[in-house]
Formats: sequence, C-alpha cells, structure tokens
Amino acid sequence: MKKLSTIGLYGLLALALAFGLVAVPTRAADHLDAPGLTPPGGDTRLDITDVYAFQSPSNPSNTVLVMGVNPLAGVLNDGTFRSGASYELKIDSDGDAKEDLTYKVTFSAPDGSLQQGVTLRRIPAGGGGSVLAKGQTNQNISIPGGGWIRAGVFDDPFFFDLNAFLTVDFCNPGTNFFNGLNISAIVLEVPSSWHGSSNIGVWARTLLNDQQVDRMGRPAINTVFIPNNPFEPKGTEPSQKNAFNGGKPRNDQRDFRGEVVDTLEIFYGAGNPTVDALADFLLPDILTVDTSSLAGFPNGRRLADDVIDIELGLVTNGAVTSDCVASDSAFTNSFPYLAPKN
Amino acid sequence: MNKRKAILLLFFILAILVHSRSNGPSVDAAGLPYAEDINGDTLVNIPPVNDAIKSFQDRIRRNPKDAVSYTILGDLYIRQARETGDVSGYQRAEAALLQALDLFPGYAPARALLASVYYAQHDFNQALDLAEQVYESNPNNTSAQVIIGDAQLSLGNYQQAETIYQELRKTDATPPVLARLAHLQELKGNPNEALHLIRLAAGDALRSGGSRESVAWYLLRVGDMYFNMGQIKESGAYYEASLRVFENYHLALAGLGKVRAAQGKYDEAIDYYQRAINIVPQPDFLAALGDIYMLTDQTDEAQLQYKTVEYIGKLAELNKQIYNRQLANFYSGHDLHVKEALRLALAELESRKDIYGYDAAAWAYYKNGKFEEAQSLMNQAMDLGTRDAYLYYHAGMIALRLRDEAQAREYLEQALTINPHFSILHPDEARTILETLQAAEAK
Repeated sequence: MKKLSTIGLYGLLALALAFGLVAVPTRAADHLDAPGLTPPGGDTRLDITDVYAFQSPSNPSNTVLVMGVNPLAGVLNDGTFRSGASYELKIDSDGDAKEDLTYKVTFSAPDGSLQQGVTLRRIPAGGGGSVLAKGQTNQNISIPGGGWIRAGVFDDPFFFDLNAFLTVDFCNPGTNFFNGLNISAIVLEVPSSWHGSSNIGVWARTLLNDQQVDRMGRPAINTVFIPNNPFEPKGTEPSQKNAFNGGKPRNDQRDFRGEVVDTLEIFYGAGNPTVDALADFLLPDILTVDTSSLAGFPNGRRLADDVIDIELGLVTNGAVTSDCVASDSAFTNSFPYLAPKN
Repeated sequence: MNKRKAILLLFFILAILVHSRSNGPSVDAAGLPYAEDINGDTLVNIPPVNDAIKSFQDRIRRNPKDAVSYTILGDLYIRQARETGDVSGYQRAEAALLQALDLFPGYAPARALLASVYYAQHDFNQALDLAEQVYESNPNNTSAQVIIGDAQLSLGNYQQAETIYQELRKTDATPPVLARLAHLQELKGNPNEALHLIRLAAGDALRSGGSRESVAWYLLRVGDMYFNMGQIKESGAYYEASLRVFENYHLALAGLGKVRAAQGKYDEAIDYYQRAINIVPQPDFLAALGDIYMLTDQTDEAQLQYKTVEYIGKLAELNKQIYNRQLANFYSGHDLHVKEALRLALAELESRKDIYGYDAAAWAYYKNGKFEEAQSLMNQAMDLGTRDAYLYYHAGMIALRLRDEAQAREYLEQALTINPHFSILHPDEARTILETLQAAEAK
C-alpha cells in the first residue's frame, strides 16, 4: 500500500505542474524574494492541454481537429492566445511521421474586450501556403471550400476524478474535478479529402519567435517518460523535457526511445518483449486516426471519449473498468462541438 | 501480469494521462531590451485574484472533500497577500492548505506551498524543515528545492543556498533560478555579475511571456541593482519599465520615489511614495516618505509617517514577525527607542544569522553606544564582501567612534563610491565627516 501512495503522490506532483500550482510566483513581504518556479516557458497560453481528432458528427466527410491550451483559463490567465505566436495542427498522411500539411493559426493582440483577430493558413509540406480564413475569436469563421474554425474559451472537455486518484478511493461516488473549469481551444473542421488519406497522424505544436515551445500528439508522453520523470530509474538526471517539447516526431524513436524503454522496464521488467512493442506504439508522439470511421480512442480521440476508463480497462485486463466519472460537458453535435465556457 | 504490477501500471498510465497536461513550453535565455522599449504588450493578464478566490470557494462548498481545490485556494490566498500587502492572506492560505492536507496528508504540492507560506511569514526554520521533508520524499520537486535554498539564504547559510541554486541551474535555468543566483552574486560583492544574471532573467521572462507582475518584478530588480551601483538614471528607466508592464506596481512606485529623491526632485519623490503607500503601506515606504519630508523641512508630516511605521510594524503578531528587522533599522536610523531597536535586532539574530541581521544588530549597538560590540558584529556583516554602501557607511561610523580614523575614512569613501545616493538622510552626513577626516589627514 505504501508503494501505491508513493505512485499516487508522483501523479499529484505532475498535477501540481498541470494546474500551475507552482506557476504563480510566491513572494514574501520582503521584495528581494524571487518568484517561485514558473511552468517551462513561463506562458500558459503556449501550454498545450489536449489534442483531439475525430470524424465530424455533423458531416461524415469532414474531420474535426481540436487543440486545447491555457489550463485553468480565467484563473491563471485571461483566456487569450499569445499574439505573435503560432498555433499549429500538423497532418501526416503517409505514416512517415513528417507533416504533409500544416494548419497554422495566429492571433492579433487582444483589444479592450479581449477579442483577437484570427488568421488560419494552410501550408503544404514544401512550405509557402496561403491564408484560408480570417475572423475574430469567439466566432465561427467559415472556411472557403468547406469547414469552419473557431478559437476562444470553452468548457474544459477533460474529465477525471482527481481527488479520488489522490486518495486512491475511486467510485466513492466519483466527482469530475474538471467540472466548471475552462481552457482556450482552437476547433477546426475541414474536408477529410484535403488530407489525401483517411488514415492520418495528427499532432499540435506552439511556436514563439520561430522556436517550437510545446507539442503533443497522444495523451502525453513527455513528463512521465522523459527525464526528469517521476519514474526515472536512474533517480534524478538532467531534464530532457525542453528537448522533447522542442523536438520533431520523426526523431522521437531515435532521441527518446531509450527513455521510454527504461521507464517501462520498471513495470514490466528488463527484456520483456511487451516493452519493445509498447515503445514502438508510443513513439513517435502522434495521434493516429482513421477519419472514415466514427470510432473513438484509440482511433483518434473524441471529446467524450473516456480515455481514463479505456486505459483502466486495458491496463488491468478488465479488472478495473472505471473511475466512475463520465463527461459532464454539454458537447453538441454541431460545430464547434465543445461546450460553452463556464 | 500479477495484480500488484497491474495496479502499479494503472497508476502509471493515469499519471501519464494527467501529466500530459503539464507539458510546458521551453524557451531559451535572451538579452534584455532597452528599458524604454519595454511595454509588456505580449504579457498575459491574470484576472483579479478575488474572482478566482470566490470561484474556488464555491467549488469547495459544492465538494468539501476537494483537496486539490483547497490547495489552489491556498495558492490564490498567497497571491492575494502578495498583491495587496495584507499579510493576513498568508494565514488564510495556511488554513486552506492545512485543510487540503487534512483530506490528503501526503499531498506534496500542498506541503510545498505550506512551506512557502511559512517562508513568507519569515518562519524560516519551519519552512526549511517542511521543504526538506517534501524534497526528501520527492527528489524531483524543484519547488521544494527552491524553498530550501531561499530559507538557507535567509538564515545566512550562504554556502548551502548556493549549492542548491547551482544544482537547480543545471536542470532549470529559468528566470526564477537566475534571479536567485543574481542575488547571491550581489551578496558576494560581484555587482556586475549580479546585474548580468538579473538582466538575463528579465529578458527571458519578458520574451517567454509570464504574468505581468512577475516580469515587472524582474525589471524592478534590474532597477534595484543599478541603484545600488549608484547608476540612478538607468535605475529609474527600469523602474519606469516595470511600472509600464504592471500598472500601479507598489514596489516600482517606491523605486521611482527613491530615484527622484536621489535626483533631488522631492515633490515627485513624495508623489511616488504616496502612491505606493496608498496601495500597500509598507513600513519602509512610510519611513522613506518621512525622511523626504524631514529633508524638506516638513517636520509634522515626517512625524506622522514615522508614527505610522511604528503602528504598522506592531499592528498584529504576524506584522511583528515579518517587519521586526525593518522596525529595528527604522528605530536605529532615526534615533528612536534605541534600546528596543537593539532588543528586536538581537532577538532576530538569535534565529537568523544572515549578514543583514548582523548589520541591524551592529547598528543598534552603535546607537546604544556599544561600539566594540557593534564592530564585532559589523565584521560578520561584511564577511561576504557585499558591495552595499549602507554596510560601509555603518562600518565607517563604528570605526570613527572607535577612533580608527584611517579605517573610518576608507569605509566612508567606499560607501560614497559604491552609491553616492545610498540613503535619503545619510550621504550628506557621510560626506561631511569624510571631508573632515580628509582635512585632518591633510594637516
């Protein structure tokens, strides 16, 4: 039991970061006391929370891509996007872990009522590209040729009983911690035919001054597998998290496979073939989806997919199947699908 | 797979899922723009802390077992205390964090925050104890590591603090860590290295786009370091930049008050200090305002400020704990209640042997006519080689009373070289004494 609580504790440490508990500077009355540690990069507006990819519920020939940023929007920040930064959704159409198409979204500085100009560009593999659509935040902007984009503050679609996880007390009765919390998100719906294949890989990244700040594909690989992670077998070692955040999926197997393997071996034992199989699956960090299918996670990720329950079932071979929390967000079947902000 | 392994793996996967939300951005260090070009347009606006507090109070009302929300609420109360200067926020933070720990006793983020509350309340030993416990069971908890370093520094254990900061720099060379290393260099008497580090920190914070308040703090520290080196114009430019980034920032307003006083623009200085005091009536702001009134022959106004210093300093137990050193220095610096000044300074030196603790006690001894004791403690205060004009001024005055004229002259010359504007009231006195000493030697 002791081991269990230790593991639980580590998860919590992760949460501390996730919710910016250490992000807010802490200072004493003496003004020489420096701020507390900030999240890497220091700007929650560039911090990716989740990535979703699924067939459009309102038009089967369209694909919906969602990129969340700004955890605890409205508490840690005003929910705006960083002007001058790029928010990109990358599509790999041929399974080589290189982007064949990029949707790039940029924002103007917020005005007095926090409205921002939104510009969507479509950039082919070779670069160049053109403006697809322009508009304002918190409005549906139509894309010529089919589809929509909307960027703004929404209800956080993620759901999980965080306190039950802390106290190792699931289903008593089960409360969604994320109920009532917000994120900022970019929701994009485009014709699936634009991607050249129905089997695509998706990842999101943020850039500032042409430098990649954060990236994500699947519900996350970085903080647990990449040093310094809570399960690092070698104990404390120099952080590679920034390197991972700044890296390209195509190099993940080369650069980070060893880190994934050494962490997995803690749970499976050295030499277990499952370790290699899992490492093949987990890297590169790309969310794969067959857009001709309505199925959800692990086929892409839909908003209401209970990723936690699915993982629970998989990992325990059906012994534990739920944290007794379901999505309580008012998702809709029409664009932009996410529930309005709380 | 056996059951135990399965459960471990389950938690592992959950940790991954939840952890994914913390994949923060990465940014490298960069130079700091000219002060005039800094306006903070790209920085994030944090909504009013009181709104956030209310929303988390509501969450707790709905689910009184929500340990995480209690922890976030604790963090918000800390922010409230910092922004308003009302230190009772730390007591509310402590209560919320203790609730979180009651619900989940091992919750490391709550424990680390609680350690930071103890630190903010100047209970450095308790902060150190708790942060060390957190760090011991979670060697990856850099927040706990930072608190350990800060508490060691405040307790005067400079070597231990430096070891921790250097260790943090290897894995986390972010503005908060650079700012701490800058302060260490300042204490060790390397002002140029300190300035370089704090400029790096400020440039990085500005580029990576943290909160307005935190970026304003780094710019403020750039201003402080220029001021302490006697570069008043540069100092003023960075205090102004800090104020542009974070409107009505009380520390930047007081900084500008200090700069205008050094420039002899007393009306402007009074205005800046009054604005700072309207936001947060810190004892050191009130004392400085009183000094400017004194200097401009507005004695009644000066006395009013001085009385308020005493009042604020004694308002509550917590104020006493946080402000006792400021109060001791105020008494010594204004020849008021010098016995009480000595009592306060010695009491604090008992628990906290840092260089400014030695300085406060030395100066209080001096004001009580005990010059031998004063000198012995002053030597300890100067042990790190800190290039602080105030320390040299105190050391010079003590040497003078011990009839070591050569030493007194050297220290006073140093004080005026380091920063001719080191204090509102004393530079003229130091200059006059120095001239007398120089004249005496010339004979």
